[in-house]
Amino acid sequence: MVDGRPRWVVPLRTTAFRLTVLHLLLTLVGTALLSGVLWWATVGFATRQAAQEIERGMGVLMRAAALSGSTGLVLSIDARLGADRADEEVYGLTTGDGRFLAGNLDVVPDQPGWQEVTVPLVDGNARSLLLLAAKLPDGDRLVVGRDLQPIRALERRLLGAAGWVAAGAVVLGLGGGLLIGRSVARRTLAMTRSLTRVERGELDHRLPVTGRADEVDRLAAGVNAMLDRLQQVMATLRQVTDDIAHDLRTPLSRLRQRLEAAEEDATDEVQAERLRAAKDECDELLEVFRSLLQIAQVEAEQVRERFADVDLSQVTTAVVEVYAPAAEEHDMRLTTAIADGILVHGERALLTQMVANLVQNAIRHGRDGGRIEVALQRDSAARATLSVVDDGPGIPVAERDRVFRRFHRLDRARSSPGSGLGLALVRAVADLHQMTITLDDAAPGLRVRVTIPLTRTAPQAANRLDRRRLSGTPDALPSI
Amino acid sequence: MKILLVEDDAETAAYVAKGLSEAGHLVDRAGDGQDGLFLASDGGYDVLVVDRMVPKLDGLAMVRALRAMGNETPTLFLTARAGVGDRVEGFEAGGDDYLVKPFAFAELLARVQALGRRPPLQAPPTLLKVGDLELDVVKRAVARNGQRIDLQPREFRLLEYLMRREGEVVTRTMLLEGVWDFHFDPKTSVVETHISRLRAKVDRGFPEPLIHTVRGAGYCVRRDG
Repeated sequence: MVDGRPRWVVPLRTTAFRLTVLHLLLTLVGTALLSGVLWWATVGFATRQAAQEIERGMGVLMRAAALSGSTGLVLSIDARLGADRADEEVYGLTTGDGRFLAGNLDVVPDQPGWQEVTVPLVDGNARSLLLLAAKLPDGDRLVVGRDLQPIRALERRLLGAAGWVAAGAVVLGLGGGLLIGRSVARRTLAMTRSLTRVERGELDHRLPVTGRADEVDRLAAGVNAMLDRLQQVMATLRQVTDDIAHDLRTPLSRLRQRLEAAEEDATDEVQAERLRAAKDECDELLEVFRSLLQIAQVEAEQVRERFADVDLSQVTTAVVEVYAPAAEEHDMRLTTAIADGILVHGERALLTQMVANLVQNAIRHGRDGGRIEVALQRDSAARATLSVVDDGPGIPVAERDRVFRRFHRLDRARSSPGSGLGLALVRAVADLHQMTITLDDAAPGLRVRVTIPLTRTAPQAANRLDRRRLSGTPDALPSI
Repeated sequence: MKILLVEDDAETAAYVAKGLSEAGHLVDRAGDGQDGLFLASDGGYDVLVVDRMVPKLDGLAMVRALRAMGNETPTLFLTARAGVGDRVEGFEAGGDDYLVKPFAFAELLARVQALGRRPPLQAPPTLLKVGDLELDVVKRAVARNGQRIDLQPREFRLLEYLMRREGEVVTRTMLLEGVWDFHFDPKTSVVETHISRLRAKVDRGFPEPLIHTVRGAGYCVRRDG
């Protein structure tokens, strides 16, 4: 593995975990609903039943009071209390001014009707009671009630059970979600890593398939099939590239050989000049092919395998030196500010080509008699910037993206030499090296800036500057 | 020199063979990699000129096979492919130089002759002498007739490259590759500019010039006569 062993995956941001949490919430709502229904069917039912019994008892006692008065009522109450084995029934009879007459409840509420109270019984216990109080026609007060203790106990157990179920659902749901999320995240992470490797150019690499034939496997297999196809297309492209190289370059080379031979044998100067011009055209055409093939290769091929540490400072210095005579021909002042020892992980020939194309572009499209500044500076330990600035007409904002396209040329540039492939190649090489290019207005002129990620730096050379004049008027200082 | 040319394109082969013969070399031709390998493994050649894309056995595989057999005949690859890394592949296969088609014949001739004159594997000398011109690679010092000459780093590399090939024709392209690490033609006069600067420092004021221009081919460092 490129990235080492898989580290602990934070599953919070995985789809599986989010789905688990959602599922857990639904389970909790379900548990609550079930508990509610259970409560209604048990506690609710028992309470309703108790109330019915109380009403029935009240009715019987009222009738006893109507038939045989207060004495009969007292007897009835005593009889009922005597028959209540479960010790659940509650009765109380007092006079209108609250004097105890009968029952096991010595305080009778003033207000008639239903109420639930916690009252001390004569046996000394305090209990939760459901009471129905009434005023008798003779002014006595009667209360019939029931001890709710058994119902409350049932309710407590029910709530306890519901609580355990909910707790279990949370633990299982979360734990399961974490585990599932982790396993799914591991697989997707493995897939993402594989895709990164493919993207980096390891076209042979494939996504892992576990053999479980699940949807992740199917997805991986689908992507792998796509990669197979992609690789095939790449191979075809390479083949086509080779074919173009061979089938077009070879006859062109022959043509050039003949022109060269003819030029040597030419008898008069005019003829020789024409043949030389034809040969130059031939060279131009070959150059276009070379650039096109190079772009295609950079974009498609596994160039990254050949990456090594390249001293971009050296490369840039050499490029500036090589193009200095061309700048001089245009009376341009070429100044440099190149920091030493900037190392880039990349392909030397391509990086040379990239810098060369930028400098050549500045010379071609800059102002005759103007200036060009090439700078390579370290921005931080991890980043450097290469900038090429001219003071020519620049590029209109609207055109800035388009200049990187193949064969794109600004209208006014059609008269100057160049194939329109230079910047396309620059972009391809920059992309390959994870560099970014920006075009700015240098007011006047164009500033091309390439932001370069650095691998490591030569520590002893850090921040040393090499400011040199390469051509142009004597004693001119680099203008800012 | 005895040269083996492995090239399937008849016209290019004829053109190269004719030119090399005219320059006084003995040229054998092979149309594919198998014949090439057979002829080359017999030995007796000073230089191999091998097209990378030939039938039956491609040029790279042919040279790889030769090297595996212990045959170290200097080899120049010819190719229509100028792609990224193609050069590197050529060197990795055991090639000694690499020339992209199309090429000027003078370029090919200069490179073939340079390869033919290459001394067998040994440590390159660190003190170079041509006439009264001395270059110390280790001390980075140059002197002519005992008189110190100050050179810019690039001028030093240029002079070193030329002096290591004393008497050989060195083309502009070879200098761009060897001194500036440029593997494409920038179409500027950088070589000419540096040569003229070098001349001003090395040859000016001395009766015998050492840096010579070879018309239509390149440059050469040698003593006259």
